[in-house]
Amino acid sequence: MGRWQPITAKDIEFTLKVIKNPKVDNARTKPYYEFIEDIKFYDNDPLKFTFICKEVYILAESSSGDFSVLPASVYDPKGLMSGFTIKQLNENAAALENDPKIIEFAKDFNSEKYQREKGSIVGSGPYAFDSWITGQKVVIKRKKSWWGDNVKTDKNMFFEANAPELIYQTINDQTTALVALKAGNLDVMHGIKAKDYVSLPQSKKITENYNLHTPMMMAYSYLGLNTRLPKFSDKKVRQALAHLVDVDKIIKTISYGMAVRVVGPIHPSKTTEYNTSLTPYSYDVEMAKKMLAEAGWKDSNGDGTIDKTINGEKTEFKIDFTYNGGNDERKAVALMFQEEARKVGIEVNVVPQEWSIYLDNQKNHKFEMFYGAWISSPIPNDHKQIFHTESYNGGSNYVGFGNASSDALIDSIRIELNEPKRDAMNKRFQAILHEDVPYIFLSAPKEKIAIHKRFTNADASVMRPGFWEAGFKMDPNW
Amino acid sequence: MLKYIIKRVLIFIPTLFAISLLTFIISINAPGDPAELMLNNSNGGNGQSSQKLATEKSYVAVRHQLGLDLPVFYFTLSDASVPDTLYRVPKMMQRKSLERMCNEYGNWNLISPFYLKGRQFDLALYSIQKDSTNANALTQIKDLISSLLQTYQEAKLTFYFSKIDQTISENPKLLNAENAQLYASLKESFSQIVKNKDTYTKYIPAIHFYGLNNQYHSWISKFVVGDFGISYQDKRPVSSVLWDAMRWTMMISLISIIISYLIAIPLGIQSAVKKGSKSDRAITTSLFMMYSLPNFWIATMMIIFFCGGDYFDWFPAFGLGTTPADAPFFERFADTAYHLILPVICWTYGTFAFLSRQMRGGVLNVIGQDYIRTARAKGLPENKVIWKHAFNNSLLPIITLFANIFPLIISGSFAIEFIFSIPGMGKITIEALGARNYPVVFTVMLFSAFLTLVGTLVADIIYASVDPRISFSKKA
Repeated sequence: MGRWQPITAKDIEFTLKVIKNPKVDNARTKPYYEFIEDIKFYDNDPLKFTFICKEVYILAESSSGDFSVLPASVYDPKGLMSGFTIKQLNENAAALENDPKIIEFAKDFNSEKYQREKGSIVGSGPYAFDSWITGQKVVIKRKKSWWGDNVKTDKNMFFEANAPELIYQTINDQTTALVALKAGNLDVMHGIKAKDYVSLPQSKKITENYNLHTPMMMAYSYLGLNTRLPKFSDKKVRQALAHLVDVDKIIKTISYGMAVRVVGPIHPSKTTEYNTSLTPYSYDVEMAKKMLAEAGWKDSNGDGTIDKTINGEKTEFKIDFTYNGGNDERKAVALMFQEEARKVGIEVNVVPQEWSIYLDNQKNHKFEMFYGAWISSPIPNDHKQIFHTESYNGGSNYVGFGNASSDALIDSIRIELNEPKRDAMNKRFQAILHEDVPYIFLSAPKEKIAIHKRFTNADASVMRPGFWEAGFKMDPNW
Repeated sequence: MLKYIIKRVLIFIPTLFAISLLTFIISINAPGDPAELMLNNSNGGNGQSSQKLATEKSYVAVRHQLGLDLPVFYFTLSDASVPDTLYRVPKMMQRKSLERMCNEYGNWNLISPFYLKGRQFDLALYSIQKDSTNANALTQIKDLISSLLQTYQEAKLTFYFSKIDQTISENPKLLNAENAQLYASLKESFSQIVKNKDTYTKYIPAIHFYGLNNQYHSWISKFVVGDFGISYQDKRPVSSVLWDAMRWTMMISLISIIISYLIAIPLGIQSAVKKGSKSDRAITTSLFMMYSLPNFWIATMMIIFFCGGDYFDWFPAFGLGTTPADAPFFERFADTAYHLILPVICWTYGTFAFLSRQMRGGVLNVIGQDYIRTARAKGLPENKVIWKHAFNNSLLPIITLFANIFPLIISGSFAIEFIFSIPGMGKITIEALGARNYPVVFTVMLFSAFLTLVGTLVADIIYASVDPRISFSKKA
């Protein structure tokens, strides 16, 4: 391992070339960089470059800055990728799949060496990869001299790298992790279950040694309804079902109060975009009954469940509510819904499914109602993947929402760089979703974090995972 | 004896072959698509959407990389209506629908162009410029075509076509001449299919041969030379993944087995010799109590009480120790051993009851025999009677159990490994099953099968050496 080299625009180009190499194993992330067509350099400034993008796009700026820069000296010692340009890789990807240099580079890059070997995993950040023992821990160590230390101005949170060594322990079982926390074997723990979190203050070992934080998490959970099924195709029926879900009670009893109700896919912390004028669906069983009756659902044969004649056949209102087996909180929500549905004459069948089958069924629209969640981030929302009709086959629009006007709105949001205009569009979009109810929106959870008291500069933040561990400093008085 | 051993070893080969076939066929047919699982991202809240082509391309690329676009086996046995090239259709829903269409109409030579035209038309729709006049109609037609490609029933297909017709008639400017032509020929090929139904082909069996280029062959041919493939989950060679995990599982299993045998056998003998006495009853009761406590519950209890929570702090709660790799061997050994104490205890205590009861049964069986009475009558001390004469012959049930040890060494225990965060074989196997990580699953299954066969053979050999009444050679 030789001396460190300065990072220039050429390294950005190299990283993009690696991402776009058609044989490199990154099918999941490749589409996110498809919008970058070419890069332009400037002779007078090796640090300046311009991305030429395919189209105007609200996430172009954030996505362009969102990848780790790789050094060619480590990842491509033979210079195999130097003969290609980004433009080439974008336009001729199919033809280049047979190029021997492309194949050789990808084979090497995909191999175990660049995943586990110390010295072969190199980036531009303040920490160097030390070791990764599968299933046990990952260790990274602070670089002794890092270019970021010499930067004087414009430093943000990510420039703070005080911890000399960071060890990420894999602990599978929640109970074990909590015991380890109490024993002082862990400095930071996040993702603590709500039930455990509320009992932590009762332990002296915790209150004496740890600070507890609950920052907002940028994520939301929802109940998805398959809008293509005849029984759910009437908007009124979906709205009626929304009235059967007591979201406040769910937040109180299942999340122990550590969640915030949401009316749509945009997080409440995005105050300029979040549509506060929308009234969340109240928990109202009588209203639900009335709306179902208006939609034509009545108990005509006196068997306790409401029914309706659909396509010539008398259909009883039964719902299969699926969730991923093993998740007790989701199961609790399902059972609550089952109870409420019984009051209006709907029979709900709660079905746990194994994770991969659960996902498969959603993708293939083989579901009736399911419990889902999405994670987001502070960058602008792009609703295409989840709510555009094009995403029905192949994307994540599992529920089949959308029509031409919602599609047009989503497409306009994607290219609207003027923030106030975009905020207004997002508010309109939330109103559309609120009325159409393809999802019964539940809540955005709060993260539950415990951080040892001997660290200062250790506040919680809304960026995943809820804290910036590299910035922690040791309190000399502890 | 040697001939017997050789015969047994030779039988391994067809047995393992049969097991590999069974494992392979069951796994491949299980629902769940590893390519989809690899591409799946649940962080969809914000991201750019993949354009339709980009997703399809990724999916096909991943399938090809995993070798899933090859036919499954050397041959398939089906009926004459289904073609032998159906495996090439990547999307499972479309593939299944095409298969049903073959069964329904029987004329693949007409279905194939229908499908291809359908795909072509689907793609053509995506290059039509969307604007306010045609947006609604375009969305509708795209939807209908997608559904059409996954449908086989005549009534439904006719319905979809009529809806598309309606949409087109309401928006005459939507399709240009070329696309309109494409659509017309698509409709035509559908009516051809319906007109020329050939349902008798469904009743003719047909065997399609695919030669050596199939998934099973590419797997087994590499397996027998030791190339176990690349794990789907983290792209590392399966041999590294399994070796990492096996070290720990083997360590825990071997220690556990040694301890359980060392304790259970004397306890069992004691119980048998002093049958009915207070000590027999005390031992039996306590062992059964231990047996009835589930080990995952005991594991959690031990962690809560002994690992530094609110009670005692005697043991570490998780993992395998934090000594760096370059520390002296003895230091690492001591640290690891310290971390393994609780897991080994949880693994072992449940077996005491079972083993010792088997031993007790074996000894009781033998003690009542005449030759033992003779030995006692001759005046031998009780010690010699038990350990010199009775012991060997009472080992038979224990030896039978011994055969299970071999596969147990690598199977691990998911619950214990999960709770104590030990990256062992149990965890790896269950997670691989969940992720449809075929290379890992197959390798573990075949190893298990192989070790079971070895174990049974070893047990048989030990029977013969321990009990002179048992012999595998033919009587002279």
